[in-house]
Amino acid sequence: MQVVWLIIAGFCGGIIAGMGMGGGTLLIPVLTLFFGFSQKLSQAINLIVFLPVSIVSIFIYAKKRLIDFTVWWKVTLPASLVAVVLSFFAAQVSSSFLRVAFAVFLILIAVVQIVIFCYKKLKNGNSGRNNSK
Amino acid sequence: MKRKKKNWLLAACGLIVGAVNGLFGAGGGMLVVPVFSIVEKLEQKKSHATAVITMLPICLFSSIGYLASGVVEFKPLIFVMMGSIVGGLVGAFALCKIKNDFLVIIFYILMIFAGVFSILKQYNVI
Repeated sequence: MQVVWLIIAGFCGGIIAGMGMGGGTLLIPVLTLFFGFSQKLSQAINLIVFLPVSIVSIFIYAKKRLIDFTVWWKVTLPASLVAVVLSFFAAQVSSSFLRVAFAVFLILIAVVQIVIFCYKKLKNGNSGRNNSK
Repeated sequence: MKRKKKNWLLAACGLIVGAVNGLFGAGGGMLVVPVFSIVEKLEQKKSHATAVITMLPICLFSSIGYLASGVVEFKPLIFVMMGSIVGGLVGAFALCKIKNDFLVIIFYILMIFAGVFSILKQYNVI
């Protein structure tokens, strides 16, 4: 039965990840809270699971010409270097520390996103619906 | 902003994104999207789509430390992956169609709940 729930959890996380909204921010707490996985295992699962998901999404986006191929690597290069180092660090520290730190990060980022969202709404509110552009 | 200045800013943001993603195994994408929309002035869908290709190598590099330390269990990994490949397809097609403000807010509220519950559980409050 757990297998079915794991697939469903992956499906939901995949939808959000495919939309470029951060599937892991949802998948990781689901894995730790509902499945009782350790924080480290959940983080690792999220990272590896994202790889095929992103490849599939990239093909779809590329076809629709939604990807800006001129800028992405400027972020990716420095980020990848730091990411390797920090991933070794994360694997060393305790899962309980990581869990609390991750939780604080989740709350912070969600609050910031809500504030930005409300700010945009207020700014664009008078000029009707504003969908990008 | 001048091109050169923008590039430095993107690289600086990259350092933060990489640190967060390596440490937490997630969250890099959420930071990259606003970076592209603010610094590069990409429209919303483009920011999201470009964020996905940006995150692919970062996630690959982020997983190295975890794989090397041997915390990864492959059985649950495979099942989650099966679900998420299908979900990813749905999400990628959905991005091209919908933009639902209600869903976005629900998602952020869920994140806050998830964070609060994680902390409460860690300290055995619930």
